[in-house]
Amino acid sequence: MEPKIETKSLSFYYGVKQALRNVTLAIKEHQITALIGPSGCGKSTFLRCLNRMNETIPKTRMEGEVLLDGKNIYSPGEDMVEVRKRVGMVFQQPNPFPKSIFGNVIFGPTMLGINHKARLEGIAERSLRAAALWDEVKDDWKKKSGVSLSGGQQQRLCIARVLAVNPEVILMDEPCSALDPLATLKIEELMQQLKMQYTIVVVTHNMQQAARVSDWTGFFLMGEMVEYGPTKVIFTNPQDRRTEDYITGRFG
Amino acid sequence: MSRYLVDKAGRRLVFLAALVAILILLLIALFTFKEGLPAFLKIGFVKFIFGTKWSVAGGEFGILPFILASIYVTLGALLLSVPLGVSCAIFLAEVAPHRAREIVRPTVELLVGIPSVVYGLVGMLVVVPRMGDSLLAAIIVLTVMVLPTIISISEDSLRAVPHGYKEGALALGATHWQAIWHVMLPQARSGIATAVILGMGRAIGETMAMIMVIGNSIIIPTSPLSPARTLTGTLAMELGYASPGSLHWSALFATGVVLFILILALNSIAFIQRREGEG
Amino acid sequence: MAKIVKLLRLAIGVVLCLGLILSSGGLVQAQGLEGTIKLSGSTSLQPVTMKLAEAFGSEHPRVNISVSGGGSSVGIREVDEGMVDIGMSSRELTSDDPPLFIHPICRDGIAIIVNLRNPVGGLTREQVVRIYTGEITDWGEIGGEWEKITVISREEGSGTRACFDEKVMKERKIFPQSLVYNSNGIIRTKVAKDPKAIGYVSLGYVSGVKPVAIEGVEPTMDNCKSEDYPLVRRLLFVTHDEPGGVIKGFIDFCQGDAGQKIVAEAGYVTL
Ligand SMILES: Nc1ncnc2c1ncn2[C@@H]1O[C@H](COP(=O)(O)OP(=O)(O)OP(=O)(O)O)[C@@H](O)[C@H]1O
Ligand SMILES: [Mg+2]
Repeated sequence: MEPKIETKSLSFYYGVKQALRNVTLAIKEHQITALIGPSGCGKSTFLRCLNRMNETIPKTRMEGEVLLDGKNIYSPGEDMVEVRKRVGMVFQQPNPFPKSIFGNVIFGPTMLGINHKARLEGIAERSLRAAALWDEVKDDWKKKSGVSLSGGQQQRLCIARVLAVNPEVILMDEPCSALDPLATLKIEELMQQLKMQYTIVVVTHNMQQAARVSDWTGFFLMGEMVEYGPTKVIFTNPQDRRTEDYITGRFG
Repeated sequence: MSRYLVDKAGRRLVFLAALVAILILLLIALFTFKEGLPAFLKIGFVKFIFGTKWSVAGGEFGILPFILASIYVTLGALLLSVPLGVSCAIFLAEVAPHRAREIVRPTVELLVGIPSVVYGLVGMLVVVPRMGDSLLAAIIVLTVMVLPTIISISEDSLRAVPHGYKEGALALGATHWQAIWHVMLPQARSGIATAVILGMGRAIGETMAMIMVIGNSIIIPTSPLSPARTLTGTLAMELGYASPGSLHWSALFATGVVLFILILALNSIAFIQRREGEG
Repeated sequence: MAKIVKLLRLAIGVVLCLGLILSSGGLVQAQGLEGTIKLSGSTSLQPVTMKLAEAFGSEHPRVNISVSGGGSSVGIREVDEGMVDIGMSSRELTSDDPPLFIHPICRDGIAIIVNLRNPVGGLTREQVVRIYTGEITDWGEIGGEWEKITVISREEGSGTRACFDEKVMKERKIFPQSLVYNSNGIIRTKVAKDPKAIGYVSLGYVSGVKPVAIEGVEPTMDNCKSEDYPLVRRLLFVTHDEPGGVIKGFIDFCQGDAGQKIVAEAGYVTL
């Protein structure tokens, strides 16, 4: 099967500091790929290269290619706004806008020029259902502010917001690190459901989480991709000594 | 124990200072009201506010022309300076390369400190020859005067918008401009409202520069190109000549009272706007 | 060592005391007057009064003179309330003003000025009146280019305006559409910048603009002195009581030859 996203010799620099070194990786469609590694190893940087979010940071430079369905998203003809519609992102800190729940979910579609009210309501309800938030907010979703939700609800709202744009890939950067175990469990269940329709890449510090939810796992160390393979293999029979050390907790 | 005492003393001191400040303001207001009261009584409130003639020799004191001029000038200046200033703030905060900002920002801040006579002089020599002594000339000078305040406060509040909001919007496929317009600006709205309130305060209170370009004719302005006289202009030009206790003197203080109320009203409107922006 | 220091100190002290006694003694011998004089009022009189005070002060070092502005009415009021010793007024006192002693210091001509490019060089009094009432609105009507006149006046209450009203307008009123500016300097600048403008300023401010003749009489120093030129006003000092002591000394000085010389140098018309 063709990979959904593929990076080729991806290197990234913040000024003179190199954060990624020659990362080559193929991400399979309708699968969950987990990225693990110690803090500062470049997981977030890598993730943000996949939807051109790093371009909002000044004085940075990228080398290599990122292919989405075989086409380089960084080639001159590609529009980064278009890329971000196809590759959605959920951040570590839930960041709902200070608008109503409804206003949050329809933000993306509205930006795309959809303004038919019934249609927006349909999209919003579908997205909230898909993000497993509908039952909790259906009574006052038009009035209640997104910011007044609990952390776990906020994160699901952010997922709903991404789903409303109907992306192909969803990038999640430590989506559960600000959440309690119960909320975490909810998000993990949600990811399982979502992978039927979407391709998911998730950064996590939680080994169990990676082992539980992902199909593929990539291990990063100091800007390099040390090992990449099926999650089962990485966790039971890692090829690289450093991967083993990290997974077994013998490592910083 | 002692820390508690220091804390208590500190709080008392701050409270006292606040009290003194408020008291002084109250006294000034009271004095103004007291001196202005005879004018309201003798001339009649309605006749004073809606009178269109002001002549010291003729003993006629109607301030409608001044009220209108003050309102026109203030709103005109805001109408020009807010869009301009906010655009400039957006440019500085979001578009301009770092180096350009490093040059522009201190320059803008420097402009805040220039005394208003200088603005008046430049207005007199540069603006007036192009359009005559007029409301418009005053509006343009005022716009330039309040722009720095509006730019720097708006830029600060745009920068204070959490980065997550902007990234969130961009990650949803919003263009940079959409992220600014739909997420960052609403988020910075309260700060921008503060900028507008400050700008408005400066605009309506500005005297020196206005006197030099607005023409000071005692007529109801009928077009932007017509000369006019503001409330503050009248006070500044005539207070030195009025003998205390005379009707003229009292009428000038009553003008001060109206100015006071006008500022209060305009500020409340802006304040309510800001409240709604936060809610 | 300590002894030497002590001795040195003593010596310095003695020398200082001696010097002080000698110098002050010298002053007492040369000067009769001492004290302070406070003045406030007309800003037109302020600059020349400061020059007069300076000259008087250098003759009488123990007299201290402070001069502040505020406007004629402020000066009149403050003299009446005893806050200052002398008020400066650029207008005559009216029946509304308190009764005060009047001491003319100098006279001032008021020139009607137009832009240097304006071909009009003279006007009749009637024409000036009709310009300031808004009946004549175009320079073309009075021999200039066909352009709308920008009429500039002073604010009500100013001495210059009072004189203009009294000597030119008489019972006619300046029309409200006229521009009003509250200083000679601003009006001069406005007229210098605007080819269509007409205004009036103190004689001392005529530069970079063209003074027009009224009824054929140019506003020259001589014409003002002889009062052939109609727009001449007195500038006054006012006091609450019959002046005496330093105050009388200062006023006499100003009205005397030395004072009048300073007045003439400052561009005013002597008494
Ligand atoms: N905006 C930035 N400017 C400069 N350097 C940065 C920036 N963002 C990240 N870096 C640097 O790049 C390297 C990789 O950072 P990155 O955020 O990708 O790590 P991470 O693996 O996501 O870490 P964590 O697990 O702590 O989130 C780090 O050394 C970091 O200091
Ligand atoms: Mg990270």
